[in-house]
Amino acid sequence: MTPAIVLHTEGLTKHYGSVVGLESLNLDVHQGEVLGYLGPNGAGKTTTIRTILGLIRPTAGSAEIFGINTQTDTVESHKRVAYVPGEATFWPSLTGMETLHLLGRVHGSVDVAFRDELIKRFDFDPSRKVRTYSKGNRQKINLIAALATRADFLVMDEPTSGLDPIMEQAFRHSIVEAKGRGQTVFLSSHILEELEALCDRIGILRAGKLVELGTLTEMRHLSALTVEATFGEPPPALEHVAGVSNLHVEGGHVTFNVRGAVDPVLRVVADHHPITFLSRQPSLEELFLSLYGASDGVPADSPQ
Amino acid sequence: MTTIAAVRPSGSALTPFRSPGTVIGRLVFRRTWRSAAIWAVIFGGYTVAKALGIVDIYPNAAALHTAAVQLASDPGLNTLVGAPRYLDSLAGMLQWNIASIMVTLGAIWALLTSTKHLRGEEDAGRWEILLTGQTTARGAAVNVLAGLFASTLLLFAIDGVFFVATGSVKTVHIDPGPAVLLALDVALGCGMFAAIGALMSQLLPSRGRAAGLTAGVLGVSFALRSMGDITSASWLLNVTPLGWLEQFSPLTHTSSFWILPPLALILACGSLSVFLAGRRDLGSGVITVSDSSRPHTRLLNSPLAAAVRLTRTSTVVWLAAFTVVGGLYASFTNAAVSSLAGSASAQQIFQHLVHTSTAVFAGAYLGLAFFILLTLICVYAANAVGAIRDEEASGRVDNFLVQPVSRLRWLAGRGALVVLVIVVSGLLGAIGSWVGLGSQGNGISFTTLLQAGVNATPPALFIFAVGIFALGFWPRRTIIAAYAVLGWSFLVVMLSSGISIPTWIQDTSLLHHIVFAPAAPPDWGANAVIIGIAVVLCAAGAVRFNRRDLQGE
Repeated sequence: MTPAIVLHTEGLTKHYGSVVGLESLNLDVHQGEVLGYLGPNGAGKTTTIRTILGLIRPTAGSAEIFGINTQTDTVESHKRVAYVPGEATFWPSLTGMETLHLLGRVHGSVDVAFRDELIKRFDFDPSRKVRTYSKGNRQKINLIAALATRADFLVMDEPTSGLDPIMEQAFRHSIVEAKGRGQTVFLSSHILEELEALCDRIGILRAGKLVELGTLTEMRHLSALTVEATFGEPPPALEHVAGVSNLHVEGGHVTFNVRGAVDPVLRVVADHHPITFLSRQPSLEELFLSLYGASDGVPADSPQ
Repeated sequence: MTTIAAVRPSGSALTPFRSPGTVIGRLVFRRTWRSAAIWAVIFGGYTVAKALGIVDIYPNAAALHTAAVQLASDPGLNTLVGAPRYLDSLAGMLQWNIASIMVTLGAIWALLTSTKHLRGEEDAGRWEILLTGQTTARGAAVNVLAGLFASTLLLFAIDGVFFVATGSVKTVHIDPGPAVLLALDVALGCGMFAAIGALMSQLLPSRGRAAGLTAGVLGVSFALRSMGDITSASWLLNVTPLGWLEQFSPLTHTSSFWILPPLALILACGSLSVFLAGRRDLGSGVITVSDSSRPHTRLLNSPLAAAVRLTRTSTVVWLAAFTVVGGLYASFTNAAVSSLAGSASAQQIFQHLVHTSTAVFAGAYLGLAFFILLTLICVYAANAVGAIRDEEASGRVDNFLVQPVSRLRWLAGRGALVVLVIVVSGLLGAIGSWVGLGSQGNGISFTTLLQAGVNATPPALFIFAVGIFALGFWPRRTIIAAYAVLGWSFLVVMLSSGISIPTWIQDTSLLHHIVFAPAAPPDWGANAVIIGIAVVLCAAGAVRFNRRDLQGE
C-alpha cells in the first residue's frame, strides 16, 4: 500500500520580478519519510518552504499539506505542521521557557513531558532571557518547540544552524525518533553528511528547479563510480575506454570515474595486473559537486 | 618574545582603503544626516511661519507690550514653552514661541538616534561585525559620537541659514548673530540628549531601556523647567538642561554663560560613554540586570494576549502621560483665562488655532490643551503601527503565522489593541482634565470634557489606518507614511496659525478638519467621515497584507 501523501506541490512557482526563486516544483512527500532538500545558497530552498507554508505567495501553482491547500486554507493546513526556521527570532524580554510556552499554546497542543525531555536532551537552560542566548541556544528553542508538538509534519530549514556537533547528534537522534513514530520530515539543509545519514529521499535544487529527486542509491546509479588503481608497470591507456572520464595518472597510480557498464574497464585493467584496485560509489558530496560544477553555480542574487 | 612578520599570500592583490578607523563614523553620518536635515527644515519652516505670524498679529511695540503683560501670567503656556521673558520685543516673542518647542523636539530626535546607533545596533548583532574591524569598542563609540556630531552640525548649519534668512526679512529684522545663536540653542539641545543617550547606552543592556531612561531624563528636565517657570523656585532652571537653554536666551538679552553647562554636559557624558564602552562586555551594560527568572506564563496564551504582555509597560506609560497632560493643562485653566481675557491679540491667536473666539475662554484654552493631547495620541498611533511592522520585519510574526493563526486574526488583534488604547487615551485625557479642573468652577462639565476626549481620538485612528494601509501595500514605508501624514498635518495647522495659507493646502491637513473641543462642540459628522475613511484604509491594508509576501527589513 502506498503511504499517504503529506505534501503535494504542483507547478509551484515563485518569481521575484525577473528573478526566479522557484520554478514549477512538482513534489510529493509521503507519510513517514524524511525528505532531504539540498541546494546551494540562493537555489530556492527557503523560498520553497515559505511558499509551502503560505508565508509568501506563489506566482503560479499550488501546495497542499494533508490535502489542504496552503494558500486558500492556510490555518487549517498548519494544524498538523511544525516549522523550524534557519534563523531564530524571538521576543528578547521573554525567557526560553516563556517562549516555549507561548509557541506551544499558539500551536494548540504540546507533549509537555517530551518537551522537558528535549530540554534535557539539548542541554538547554530555559530560565534565561532570550536576549542572552547564543545563536545555537535560540535555535534550540525552535527545535524543542517544534518537536514537542509531535506534529505529523515537520518542516525544517537548516535546523542545525549554530548547533555544536554534540547537539547535532541530539538532533539526528530526534529525527530518527520522529520517523520511528511515523512523523514526516521535510529537511532542507546543505550539510550533506546530515542528509546522507537521515533522509530516505533527497531532492536537489538548482537555480529554483528541482533537478534530481530520489533515494541516494538511485542517484548513485545515475552517477559515475570512482575508481583508484595502482600498477607495478606503466598504467594502461584508459582515456579511450567507454565510460571513463576525469582520468588522472600519477606514476603507476590512476584515478578515474566510470559511468555505465564497467566490463570494458575491468578487462583493460585486469590485463595489466593491478597491485591495488578500489572502486566506490560517489558520496552525496560528490554527487552534489558533479551537479554543480565549479563554473556551474546558481545566480548569486537569487533570493531564497 | 618572537615577532612574527605578517605574510601576504602570493598573488593576492589587496586594495587598501583610506582611513579604516573612521568607517563607523561615516556610516553613522550617512544613516543620520537625512533625518537631521528634515528636522532642520521643519524647524526652519516653523520659524519662518512664526516670525511672519508674530509680525502680522503684533504689528507694533505697543501690541507686543500689551501681549507681554497678559502672557506673562499664563502658567499653562509657561509650562509648555517656558517663562515669557522679553516679550515686548519681536525677538523675545519669537524666541518664546519657538525655542523651547524646537529644543524639545530636537532632543527627542537626538536621544532616539543616539541610542539606536550606540545600543540598537549592538542589540541587533551588527555591532560585533564592526568591532572585528580595525577599531576597538572605544574607537567605535568615538566614531558614532563623531557621526552624530556631524549630523547635528548639519542641523545647526541648515537652521542657521533659515534663521539668518528669517531675520533678514525687513519686518522681522533680527541680526545674524542672534539668529545663529538660536540655531546653536537647538543644536545644543540635540547634543545634550544625544550625549545622555550615549551614556545610557553604555549603562543599560538594551536599546529600549537606554532610550526609555533618556526620555525619562528629558521628561524630568522638562518638568523641572516648567516648575522653575511657573513657581517661585526659579533656581530649578539652573539644574536642568532645558533650563540652561532657556536662560541662554539666544535672540535677546543673551547670556553666553549658559552655553557652558550644556557643553560641559556633552563633554562629560560623551567622554564617560567612550570610557565605559571599553569597560564592559559586548551585549551587556555597566548596570547588570537579571538575565534569568522563573517563567511567568500569564498572558502568553495567544498572539493577542502576548501582544498585551509585551507592550504593557510602554502602554501604561503612554496612558499615564495622556492623563497627566490632560490634568496638568486643565489645572491652569482659570489662571490662563484671567490672564488672557480681553486680549485682542490672544483672541487672534485662538481664532487662528482653535477656530473660536475668546468669548468662551476656558473652552478655548482647553481646546488648545486637547489639541496637544490629540497630537500626542497621534504620535502613539504612529509608533504603535511601527511596532506592528517591526514584528514582521524582524521575523517574529513568523512564529505565529506558521501556526494555526491567520494573518488577519493576528493583525486584527494587534489593531484592536491599538484602537482600544487610543480610545482609552482620549477618555483618560478627559478624566485627567476633569481632575485638573477640580473646583475651578468655570462651568465646563465632565460630559463636555468627555466629548473633547473622544473628539481627540479620530485623528489618531486615521494615522493608525494610514500606517495599516502602508503596511499592506508598502510595508517598508509603514512608519514613514504614518509620520508623514501626522507631520504634514501638524505643520500645516501650526503654519496656518501664523501665516495665511491657501484653503486647499489647509484641507490637506487632517488636523484642519478637527474641531478643537471643548473650544467648540465636536463636529461628529466630520469625525464620522474621518473614521469611515480610516476603516476603509484599514480594510484595504489588511486585505493586501493577507495576500502579499511577508517582507523582512
